[in-house]
Amino acid sequence: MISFLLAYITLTLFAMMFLGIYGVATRSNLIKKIIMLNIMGDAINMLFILIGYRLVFPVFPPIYEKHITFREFLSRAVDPVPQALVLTAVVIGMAMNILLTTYAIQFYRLHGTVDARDMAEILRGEDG
Amino acid sequence: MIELHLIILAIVVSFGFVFSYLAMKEHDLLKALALSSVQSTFFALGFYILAAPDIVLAYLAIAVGAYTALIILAISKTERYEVGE
Amino acid sequence: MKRDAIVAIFFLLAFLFVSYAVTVKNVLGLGEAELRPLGEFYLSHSFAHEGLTSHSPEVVTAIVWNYRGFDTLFETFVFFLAIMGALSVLRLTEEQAKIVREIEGREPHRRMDIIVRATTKLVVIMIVSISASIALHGHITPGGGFQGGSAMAVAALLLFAAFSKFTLERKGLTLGHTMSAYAIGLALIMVTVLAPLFLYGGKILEINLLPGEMGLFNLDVGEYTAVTFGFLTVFLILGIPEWIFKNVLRREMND
Repeated sequence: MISFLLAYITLTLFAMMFLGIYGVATRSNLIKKIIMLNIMGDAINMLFILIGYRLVFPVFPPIYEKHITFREFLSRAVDPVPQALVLTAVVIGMAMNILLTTYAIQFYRLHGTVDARDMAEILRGEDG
Repeated sequence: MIELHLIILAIVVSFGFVFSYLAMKEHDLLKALALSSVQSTFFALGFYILAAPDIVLAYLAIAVGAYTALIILAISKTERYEVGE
Repeated sequence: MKRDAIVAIFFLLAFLFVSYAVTVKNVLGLGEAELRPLGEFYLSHSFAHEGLTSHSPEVVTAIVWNYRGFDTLFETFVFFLAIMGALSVLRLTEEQAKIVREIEGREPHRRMDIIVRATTKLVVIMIVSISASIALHGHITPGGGFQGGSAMAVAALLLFAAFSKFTLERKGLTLGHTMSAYAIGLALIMVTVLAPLFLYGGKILEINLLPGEMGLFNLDVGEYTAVTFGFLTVFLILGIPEWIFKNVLRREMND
């Protein structure tokens, strides 16, 4: 039961990650690409946290409290390393969103389109 | 009892997958954004189940608040509808 | 359409390969009751009385700012670079900013009705106090600079939606002020990072040498200020309506 559930969760997250990459590859609107990129990032973050999860009950967050002993804390708390990595990844992902959105807006101001196919034609026209 | 956590997590992740698929299929960008923020809400619940309170605090504020506002601003400055094939 | 199908088939194959690796071979090491050695080290040392301790019961903040401090320091710089990249694309010259202010001043004063405004005031006060408590207790309870800063940015966005960008700017929240506050936050981080080197003869980011919990606290407060005002700077400049911007550009072209 437990292994089936774990496999189901992991595979759904991987499927979601591939869905995100598929969306980035096939949709042509730049804003839509940014939305799909975020869905992919969410799935990867969740997968990271899932790697740090422990199958013990009850499971504690990695924050030491006074009313539990240190030995119990060590045997029940989840792995804090993936959480620390994902925490910065979430904020930096938002900063990257700001940068990408800014460039999309600026491209729209200059050329009047946010479609990747039109974009390719415009850039080709500038070259030749 | 750990099965209960995993079952809730499986439900949450399935809903997240369904909503992200709907967001990919949607041609109205505002609706796609709304669907993707529903998916974010489910994922925040998932982070809570996975015993990560730090991530929940950062993720809820960013993925449901700031990111949605940013994309709404971007849509208002560019086009609302995605041009199909 | 045909190209989409080919892409989908390739992705399906990749997904099958990944699912074989994860379920049959278990490459991720999921579903174990044991901790990894690195995680166990952090959990057991972060609140210990001696040794490689960081005097913080909150292990995630201890990792973020003490054990893996350089990682977070450079993430802060990446954040700074992304915000500055956005700003260098969107920014206006001084004359253009003056024209924008002029056009905005001529606009009729639009506002939401009194229920929305009163509720927003109440909620914003709550969010600001909660975000301050998240950030300032970051080394004791769940939270820290990143989390508090992003919650605070949401409060600013609420003010933005219920009143207007214009009202905020008249109350003193202009672009110059937010950028100065961002710089102050970054300066606090840099001072705390460099203080052990100059005051105590240690190394860079050796914040255990600072008295008490001052190192973690200062870094959290610095990050809180930096993230809040970094987001706010971008939203202030993105909040200029597009037709005003086009007006400004057209005026440039006519000159």
